Amino acid sequence: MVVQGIRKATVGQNGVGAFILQCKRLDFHYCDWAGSSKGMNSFLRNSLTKFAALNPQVEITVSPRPRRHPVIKGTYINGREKAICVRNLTKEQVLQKAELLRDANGEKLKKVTKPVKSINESVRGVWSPYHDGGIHV
Amino acid sequence: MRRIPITSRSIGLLRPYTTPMPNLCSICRHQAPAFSTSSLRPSLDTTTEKIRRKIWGTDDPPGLEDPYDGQSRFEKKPKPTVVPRQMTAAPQLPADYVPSSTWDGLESVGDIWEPEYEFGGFLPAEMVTDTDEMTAALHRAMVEIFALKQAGLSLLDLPKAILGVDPTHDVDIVPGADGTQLRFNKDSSLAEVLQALIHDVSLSPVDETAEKGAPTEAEEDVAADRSELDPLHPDESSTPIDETAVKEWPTESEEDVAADRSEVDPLKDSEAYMPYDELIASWDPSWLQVSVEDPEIKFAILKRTLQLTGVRVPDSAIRSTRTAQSILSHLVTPPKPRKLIDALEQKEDLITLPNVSVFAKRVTPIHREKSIGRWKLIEKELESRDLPVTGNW
Repeated sequence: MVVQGIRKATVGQNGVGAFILQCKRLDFHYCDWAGSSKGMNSFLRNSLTKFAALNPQVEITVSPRPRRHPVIKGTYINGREKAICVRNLTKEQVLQKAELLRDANGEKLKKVTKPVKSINESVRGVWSPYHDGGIHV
Repeated sequence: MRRIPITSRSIGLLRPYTTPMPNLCSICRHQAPAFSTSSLRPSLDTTTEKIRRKIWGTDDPPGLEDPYDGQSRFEKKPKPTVVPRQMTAAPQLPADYVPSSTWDGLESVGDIWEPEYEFGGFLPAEMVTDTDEMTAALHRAMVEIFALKQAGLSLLDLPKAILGVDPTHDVDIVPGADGTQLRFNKDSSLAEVLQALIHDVSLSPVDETAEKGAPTEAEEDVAADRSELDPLHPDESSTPIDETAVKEWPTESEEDVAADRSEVDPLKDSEAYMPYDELIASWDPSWLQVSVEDPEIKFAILKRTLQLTGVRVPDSAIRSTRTAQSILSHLVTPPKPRKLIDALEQKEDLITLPNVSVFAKRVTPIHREKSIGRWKLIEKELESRDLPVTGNW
């Protein structure tokens, strides 16, 4: 059962009510022959069981992709996909990439310039006790 | 430019003394070389020989007479003497022998090949790969070896041929404190196992000295074989036959006697058709814990198992095997999976996870459409528009 995002009539605020992991599926593609898949194959043999058991909400598929570099592809509930080529990486590095895709939200990467992200940004900025006049009793 | 006279060259100073050359003019005398710096060509002078003799310490130093004649000492190897080939006498052929020009009517073509010279290998022609069959073969080997040991026979008395009927199906191997014992169930006995194992009647525990009435047909053959009485000349006197003497070479008829007297029905092999898994389940599982620490027993079991199955246990693993279980683990060790999918399918904990699916082949877009039931619609729409139904399969 794939996790479906609720059709939103309002703006979702993930984590305010209940946290929904944005990544719904991870596809692991490997090649049996090529040496660039060595670390990926080792990850699938040794670490995938633990990773899959720790993330039961993520659908995991493993399929070969002959004569190609190994790839992890993440599918997100906003409909987008992210793919990372893990050629020549070690088992531990492949695990890091899998965790990165799992934790991603599926959005395009954006440069974060402001300390606060809000869907309802205030024109007045963030209140600060040091820059206000203070409360006079 | 003023020419430097030769006499004033520095090399000329090495000249120990001026050789008088009265027949040369003064110019030629100056242009002629004072002495040569190259080595002397002829080395056969007495000085060289003296030095060589001093070095080698003999009057006949080794080496060439003339080292500059171009021939090395190593090239002067004695030529191998050619031994003239001995002509063997041709076999005597019959006088009326005519070589045939075609193979029509010939019984055989080529050299005469005697079947007795045919190579019969120790190992079976086909290696056993089934796990249950391998387990049954190990059990059979162990029963036979322990039967030999129980009967006090040498463990080297194993037959070379493998018998078709296996009499060890109903035998349990029981590990005990005072040694491993065999427990024979309803349709088996030690004699039966040994009889199938050893063809030699003198070694088998069949009682030859028992009183036998109503001799069988085969026994009459034995008597005829053993008798020194010539059936064609019955009048000649014969010496009494000592029937109690140990018979070293049993005749073929004697083996028939053993087969006749034996209570084993050779056609009774209904158990042989029992599936191996049921057979293995019928044994007491403690037989896998039987100790094979005795090197003689271990070697005999491994040899017999090798003969039955064709599977060789590596030498490095033999030393560490202590029980039947460990031998079995080396016999049935599955080969390393060549493909990742084979390795993943062996991991039960991964396959049984509900969120994991493993595919043996590449998953294409068509597979994904099919999995959600959309491919038929796509196919139908493509056909209605006269478009080719293609895609990545």
